[in-house]
Amino acid sequence: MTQTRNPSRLHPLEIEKGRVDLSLYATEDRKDLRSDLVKINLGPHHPSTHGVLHFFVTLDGETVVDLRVIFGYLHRSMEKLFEGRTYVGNVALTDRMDYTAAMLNNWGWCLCCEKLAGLEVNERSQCLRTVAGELSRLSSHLIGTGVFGQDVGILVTSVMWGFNWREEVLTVLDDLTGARMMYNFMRPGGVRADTDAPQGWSDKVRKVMDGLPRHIEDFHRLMTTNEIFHERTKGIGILTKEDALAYSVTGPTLRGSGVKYDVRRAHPYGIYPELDFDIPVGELGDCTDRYLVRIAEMEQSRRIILQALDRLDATEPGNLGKAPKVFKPPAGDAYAEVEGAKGAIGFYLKSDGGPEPYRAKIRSASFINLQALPMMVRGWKLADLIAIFGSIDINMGEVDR
Amino acid sequence: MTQEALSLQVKVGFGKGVEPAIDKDNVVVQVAPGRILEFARFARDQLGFDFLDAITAVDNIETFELLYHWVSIRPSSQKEIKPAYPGYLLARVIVAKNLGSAQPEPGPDYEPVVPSITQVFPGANQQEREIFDLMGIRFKGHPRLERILLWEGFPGHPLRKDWRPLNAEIPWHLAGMRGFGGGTMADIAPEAHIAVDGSGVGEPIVLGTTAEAPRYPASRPPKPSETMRIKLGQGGLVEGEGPEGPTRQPGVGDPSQEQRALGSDSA
Amino acid sequence: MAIDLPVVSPGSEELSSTDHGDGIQHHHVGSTFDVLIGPLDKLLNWGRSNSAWPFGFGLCCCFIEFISMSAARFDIARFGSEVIRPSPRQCDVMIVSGTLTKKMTPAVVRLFQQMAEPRYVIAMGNCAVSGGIFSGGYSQVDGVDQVLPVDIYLPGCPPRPEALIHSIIELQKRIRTESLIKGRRLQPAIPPGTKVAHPWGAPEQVFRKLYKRFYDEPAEHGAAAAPARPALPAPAPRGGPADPSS
Repeated sequence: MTQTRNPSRLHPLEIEKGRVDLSLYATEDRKDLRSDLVKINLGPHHPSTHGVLHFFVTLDGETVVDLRVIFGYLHRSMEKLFEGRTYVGNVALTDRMDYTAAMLNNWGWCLCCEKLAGLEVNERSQCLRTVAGELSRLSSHLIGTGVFGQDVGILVTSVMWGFNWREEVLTVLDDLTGARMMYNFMRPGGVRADTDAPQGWSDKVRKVMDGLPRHIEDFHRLMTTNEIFHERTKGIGILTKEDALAYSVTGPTLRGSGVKYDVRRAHPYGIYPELDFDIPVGELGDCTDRYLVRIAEMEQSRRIILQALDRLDATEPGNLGKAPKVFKPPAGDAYAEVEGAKGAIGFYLKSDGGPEPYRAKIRSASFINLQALPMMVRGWKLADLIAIFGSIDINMGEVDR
Repeated sequence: MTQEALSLQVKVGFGKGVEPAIDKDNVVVQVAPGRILEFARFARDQLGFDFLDAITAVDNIETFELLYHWVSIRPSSQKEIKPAYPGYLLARVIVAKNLGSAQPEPGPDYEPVVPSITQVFPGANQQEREIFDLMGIRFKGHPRLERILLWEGFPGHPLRKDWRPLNAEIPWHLAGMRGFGGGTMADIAPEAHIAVDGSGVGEPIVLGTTAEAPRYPASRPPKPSETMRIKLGQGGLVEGEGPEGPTRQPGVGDPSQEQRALGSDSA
Repeated sequence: MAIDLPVVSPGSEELSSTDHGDGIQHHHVGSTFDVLIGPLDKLLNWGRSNSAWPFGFGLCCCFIEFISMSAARFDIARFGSEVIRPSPRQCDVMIVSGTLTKKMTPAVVRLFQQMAEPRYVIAMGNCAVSGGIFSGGYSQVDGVDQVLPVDIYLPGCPPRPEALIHSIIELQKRIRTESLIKGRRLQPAIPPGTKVAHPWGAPEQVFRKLYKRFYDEPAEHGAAAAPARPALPAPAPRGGPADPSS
């Protein structure tokens, strides 16, 4: 079989030295000159796939023609396990979904339980939930931004910076709940009974929040204004508004495309309707926009946390409301969503009146955001595939559940 | 838009026996399985619900239930943060378990068929695949209906209420120690699950990791391989007690058994 | 020439006695061979224990704590394990960080087999130790010791980075007791020669089918033309994107 060479891939020296007769290629049927397609395998163990994700990529030269995403390597039968454990016991399982922002998964589960049973949550518990949830979001965005920097070529500096600042956030969450990652903090109807903010906790959180703008400024210095970063991300992997909506994308990925949809505003819960914060959106829907939306969301999280802390200080310590120890909702079903770090996290619960859910379904943001990836990378280079994938910021624990 | 206005719009626009109900802040519409694609198109084009939020499948013992949640976002309004309708539009589809089934007989692979809505909402793609994988509902017209979280060959659909782990589940991960050498796994006949090199004499190995689990899925009789016990060091297999009792007790001098152990095909 | 090795020697009894499984400690009489090899053991163990390179291999939640351990605050570089390699060929320690599922097992076993001897395994987290909170589900393996020979078990969900550092220190202690003559490896969990097939089709066969289908099916030049990249505007100013509502 004869190999044809694409003239655009010839080495300039070859042309210069006259080794190649360009007139062979300068024909109108040049579009028929094609190289063979190459199929490569990426994963399930690969440093750039953020966990156990598996790609089958078909390449034309360096251009991605087709991408097939294979996952399930972390499928831990969570929805089946839900059916065998109590509603309160399942809170611990939800921690392990999006493990970089575990608090927000707790919140989604508890919100759905409260909707099912018609429970009210008192002011102090709501404030604690808000502060803890936004701290979790900060922690997730710090990881996501840092790892995205690694994907586009900053090597490990941005990862190290992100993880270092995340430690400050984890310190205050550790003081509150006793755990660094898996908090098991919220309960249907409130928060864990023995867990109130320790004395001086809100001042400590404020101190951490004071340091945040400096860290964000550092991110801008390291990444946003860096020419290489700019070249690798600007205009790459554009996701239009229409595509984003058609593919059910949520979270910063959707807002990066310019759609102002945030569950905290669209389907309000908690004390969010009374708080003052903005929803940052991008314009073009490229990798830069998705990255900048995450950075801007960190600033908004800081605003929310400061407001919620003021309200927390105004409440009486120890008054956490009544979270029922034995939670037995009446028969029926409910669906509730919260804004997670990666997008909308929804829970559907169906109760038959027993202490365990009859059916519990997770609508996970990463799982659904991921399905836009093959469409987004088609026609881009293989290196751009990694950048685009990093800008979506998925979490395999949430994809596979 | 109020809930009443939306219900009226559904009733007038979609018509034909549809009765929208108001449940908390949602508008719930009961849709026949054959019309869900039509309803999805109607919801997107006529009602402005342009965002498919989630598809949920529930096993209600006698029937399956599919729930489609839609949200109205309408990206044209940049300044608007609240969606046009504050709640969800919810379509409930009751799927009979024998609906257009791929298999005529009830069994673990007894899968009803429902139209796919991927051509209207591409975002339904992976959610429908997940439902097929875990709940066993087929979607007609789906571009690539395959297992997504589990692997090809997994028995049954684990989120069904009648699903049970197979009792014959060999501690299969032992297979991993054999490595990826070519052909070692494929050459073994399904009966000869464990063949010891003659040195092992010990307790019979009961195939199955969970002793308390039911022996087989309730809806089908067990295969011989599921009730099989293996005794090491006796040169053969010992059939266990299925529902019809012990079928065969190969002795040490059984010629057919010896041939099988030796691997000769000619008898 | 006397070599002064800066290593804390473990109890000499451990080095000079063997347990054959019969409950009797078999003490070795110092032979010439032992005397010759002994210092070499110390030298090798000193080098190996202080440069245990971990495998940059993450399954799940625990891997985040693994990265935290290697980041600035906990700084595993103090203990010689900061070189995290993405390739199994260059690693000494496989830290199985997270839940092992049945679908992932063939890949993990293969990665382990690609590591060069001597190789060590730390089962990090409750899921890798025993299945943890997910024990009883249909898709995960209850404990990574069912497929790999585990040296150190590290419970916790997830273990804190301090605990992970502690487990590496414990591993270093274990490496220092090794001997060239007597060997060090744990016996593999499964006796060699065992052949097991899975009634569902072993996942590694599934793997093979998956790859075969991908590589066999004809590829077509689809719409491979690169999408037009819009003209690049100037780099974004500091301070993030403009919020149209503010």
